This record gives sequence, C-alpha cells and structure tokens, in this order.
Amino acid sequence: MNTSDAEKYLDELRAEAMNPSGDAAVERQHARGKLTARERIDLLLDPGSFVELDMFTRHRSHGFGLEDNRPWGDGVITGHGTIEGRKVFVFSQDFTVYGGSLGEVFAEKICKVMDLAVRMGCPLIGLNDSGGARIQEGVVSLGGYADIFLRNVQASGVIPQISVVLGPCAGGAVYSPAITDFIFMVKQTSHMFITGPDVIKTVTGEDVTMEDLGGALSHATKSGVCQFACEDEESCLDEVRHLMSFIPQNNLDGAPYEAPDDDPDRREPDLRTIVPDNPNRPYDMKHVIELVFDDGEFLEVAPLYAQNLVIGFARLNGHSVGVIGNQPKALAGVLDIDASIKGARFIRFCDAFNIPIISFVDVPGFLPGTNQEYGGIILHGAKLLYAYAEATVPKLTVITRKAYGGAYDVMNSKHLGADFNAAWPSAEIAVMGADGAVNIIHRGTLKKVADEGGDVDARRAELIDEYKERFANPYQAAERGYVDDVIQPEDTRPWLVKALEISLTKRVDGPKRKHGNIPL
Amino acid sequence: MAGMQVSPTPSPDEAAAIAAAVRVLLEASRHGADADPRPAAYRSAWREAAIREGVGLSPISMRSR
Repeated sequence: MNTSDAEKYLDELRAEAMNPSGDAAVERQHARGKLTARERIDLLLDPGSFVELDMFTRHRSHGFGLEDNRPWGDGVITGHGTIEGRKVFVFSQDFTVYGGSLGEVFAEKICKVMDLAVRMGCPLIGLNDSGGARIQEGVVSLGGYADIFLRNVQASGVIPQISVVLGPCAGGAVYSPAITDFIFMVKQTSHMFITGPDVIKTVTGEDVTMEDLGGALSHATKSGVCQFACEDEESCLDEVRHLMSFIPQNNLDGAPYEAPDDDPDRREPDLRTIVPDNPNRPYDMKHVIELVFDDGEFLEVAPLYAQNLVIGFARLNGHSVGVIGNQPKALAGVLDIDASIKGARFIRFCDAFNIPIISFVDVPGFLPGTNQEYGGIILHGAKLLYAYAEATVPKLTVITRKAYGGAYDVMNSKHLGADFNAAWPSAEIAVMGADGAVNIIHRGTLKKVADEGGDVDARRAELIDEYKERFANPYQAAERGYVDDVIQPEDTRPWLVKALEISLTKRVDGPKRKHGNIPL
Repeated sequence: MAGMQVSPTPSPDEAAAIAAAVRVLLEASRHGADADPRPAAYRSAWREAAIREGVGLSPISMRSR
C-alpha cells in the first residue's frame, strides 16, 4: 500500500468508525426520541473542540457470533473537549452498537478517559445509554463495571463527575452514576433501576411501569437519585453546561469567577417585607435567594426532592457559592430525613471543591413522627450536622426567622464552625417556639390557673408574649456572639459580599486522619 | 535588551534571538497577570496553602512546584 492508498484507507476507516451501525440504526435511535452518541457530544461541548480517543478499538471476544461483528469503537465514544473553553473528558455510550452494552474493551475505554481526567485534573462527564453488561462476554463485563466503580470512587472529591442518563441504565450499571456528583435524566427516555418491572412483578407481584419505577421524575421526586429531570436531551445537555459554570476543574482549583455586573453594595428593599408578621405564615426562600445573589441567578439542584430544603449554586459578587436554605413553603421548612441527606451531600460536594457555602435559616426543628424516627432521622440529621461541621470552606449564615432547637445548631451555627453569622430582626433563636415553650415551662402555672377557674388562654397569651420578648429574638444569641450581627434584611447582600470576600483566604488545618466516620 | 548580558558571549544574531525570546516571555507573563480577572484573594499564597492542606498536601511543596 503506497502513501496515498494508506491515507485513503484511514479516511475510509474513520468514516466507518463515525457511523459503525449504519443509517438504519441511527434512524431507530431517533425514532426512540433519542440523539446519537455523537450528536450528544456535539451538543455538550464547544463546537469543534472534541478530540476523540480510541476510535479504532474493537472487542477481542469470541463466541456467540461476536467474532463476526467487531464494530469500530466498541459502542462507546471517548475523548476530551471544552465547555466554555474549559477542558473536560467525556464518554458517550452508543446504544446503536450492541445496545450500548458494556464489554471488556468498552470498559477499558471508559477507564482510560477516567484515568486521564484525574491525571489532568479535568471534570468527567459520562453520557449513559446502555442496555447493561454484554452478556456474551460473561464475567469480563462485570469486571469492567467494577473497574469503573473503583475509578469513580478514587476520583470522587478530586474531579467533578457528572452523569447524564439518556436511555436505559439498569442493574449494576447504575452504581457508576450513583457514585458521581450529579445525575441528569430526561423525562420518558431515561430509566434507572436495579431490577426492572418484569423482575419486580415476578418477585413481589407489584405492577409498575418503567417510567414510574425508574423514570426521571420518579428519581427526581421520590428517590432523590437524580438531581436534574429535563424535558429533552438538548435542554439536558445545556443544563450540564450551566452547572459546569459554577464548579471548578478539580479539588485544587477555585470555582470559575465571573466579573459581576450586579452592585455588591446593592441594598434590596423587597427583603424588608418578605418575612410575614405571622410567624406561622410561609414565604418563599427561593425569592430571598434570588434577591440577594448576582442578577437573581440561581441554579437549583434537586428542586423536586425534599423541597423543604433548597440547595443550589449562585454567584455573589462574581464568586461561585453553594446556597442552602430552609424552605418555609414546604413542610414549614422542617428538617427531615430526605432534606438532611440532600443537604449533607451538597455540602460535601461544595467542601470538596472549594465552593463557599451560604445558608439561609428558617427552621422550626426536625419533623416529628414514627416514620422519621424509625427511618433513622437521628442518623440522617447527624449527616447534615457532620457535613457542616466538617466543611472547611467559607461558611456564612443568615437567620431570617426561626432557628429552633437542635435544628438551629445543625444549620451552620457558629458552634459548628461557621465563619460569619447574621440574623435579621425577625429572627427567633430559641430552644423552641413560644407556644410550645410556655406549655412546658409554665405547665404548673397554667394548671393552677385552670384549677382556680381562671382564664387559661389569657394567661397563656401573656406568658407567650413574655417568652417572645425574652427569647424569640436574635439578641440573646447576639449577646453571646453566636451571631456576629443583627442586620436589616435589605443589607443582606452587602453584608454577605463583605463576609465572603474576607473569608476567601480562610485556612483551617484540622487534625490529620485517614477519614472521619460520617453516620452513613 | 538594554542592560541584559548573556554569557558566554553570543554572536549578534544569537543575542538578538535570545533578547527577543526573553522579551516575549516577559510580555506574556505581564499580560497573563493582567488578564486574570479574579480578585487578589484567588492568588493568595495563604489561600493556596489552605486548599493544599485541605487535601493533605504540604503547603511547602506548593512553593517548590
């Protein structure tokens, strides 16, 4: 073969590798409402930035007719590219080749980009669309999964790992996305489960559809497995790019800084009236967040799960921050099992990747009930406490209204190592609400009034007013330095900007250890 | 470049080439610093030490990178 022929041969091979299953398979993929692996990469990355690796790999298996069909690439496209100019590594599973099933070479390709991503300190984004293990390759497939899991664990907290599930992801395959930092899914076309509807029907007799069992909405609302449930693949991949704008390349890097247009000294008068006079009336903590942060931009994470705790990313004077807020609009903002887990995992992500954490507190306590106690609220609530206490990034807190009992301690209190804490004048920092406190503290007094035929309700009202005046305010805490200042609500943004900017050089050197033992 | 001496003494062409290369390097590093839009805290050695200590790396090794 002369040079010209060799070059021609390469072009032919490359063309074949670009479309290993043929146009009919691509059409079938489109008919399922899904894009091809390459189309997805094109949408995810900056135009023309993708550099493919291992295009000419092929499986080496024999038996079951595999040796007669050795498509280039072996069903997964791997490489690197950029998102807004920042380098990322990517793999994109190709459902048109062996149903995206994972065999030895397929797994090797993924492991290779994972190793490269860690070595170069770049985020890894996995586009998943796979029927599972390549059964014909037997235990080698299982080994391939475990090789990936090991790398997921080793890369955790070192580089951001994002999973985008764009088709089936079942059985053991789910554990790779589960270990990663964020999972995106698309309604109707993405499905994740350990065992599918047929097996469930056989084993437990339950009837459940694919979508109800493992669809995007089920995982976004019920299980909390997926943080982003998107309408279609285009918006999904766009949302991944949006998320990337808030997170750093690796754990030695700072999050991207965007020179702000929003005035750091902007006072926001609307915050003055946002907390209702009636302490039992709800308001929207997301509205507070949008009024405080740059340009009202807030990328909420897991917006449909444990809605009593709001988490997400925003920017404050250009700095990327993680935001956590109790949500009075949902369950009055109480902490429960789901909210604790949601918050704890988010805090640990932010801490691992040097993203400051800003908490907005309006929490009446932990949710009472046997479901919560039997479900382990003690352990799960401790996760949130542990995560806050362990985090060494800048930690700022604004108490807008209630901060009661143990939940006060847990929600980034000064005692857990928060750097700067402020309270609004409407804050009530106390062991419990006034009604409950009076019923306990003054049980004897009220019984005596009742026994003597007095007006119990009137006396209780007096005692509640007395308690509120004495305890249901921020000044007892301020006297002790548990809050650094009591600020007018409209001053929240300038106060936070100054607190954040003085905290950017925070340095905490804790005791050395292999790792702590968070109550998992 | 004025005030710059290279030893052993290069030929005039070599001297010009070295001077040009150094000039480009100095320009690039000056523009590099100016181009960083981040506040000074992001370039603080104290902050960098904090990040390295957070992952168990010595802040001293950072200085010898």
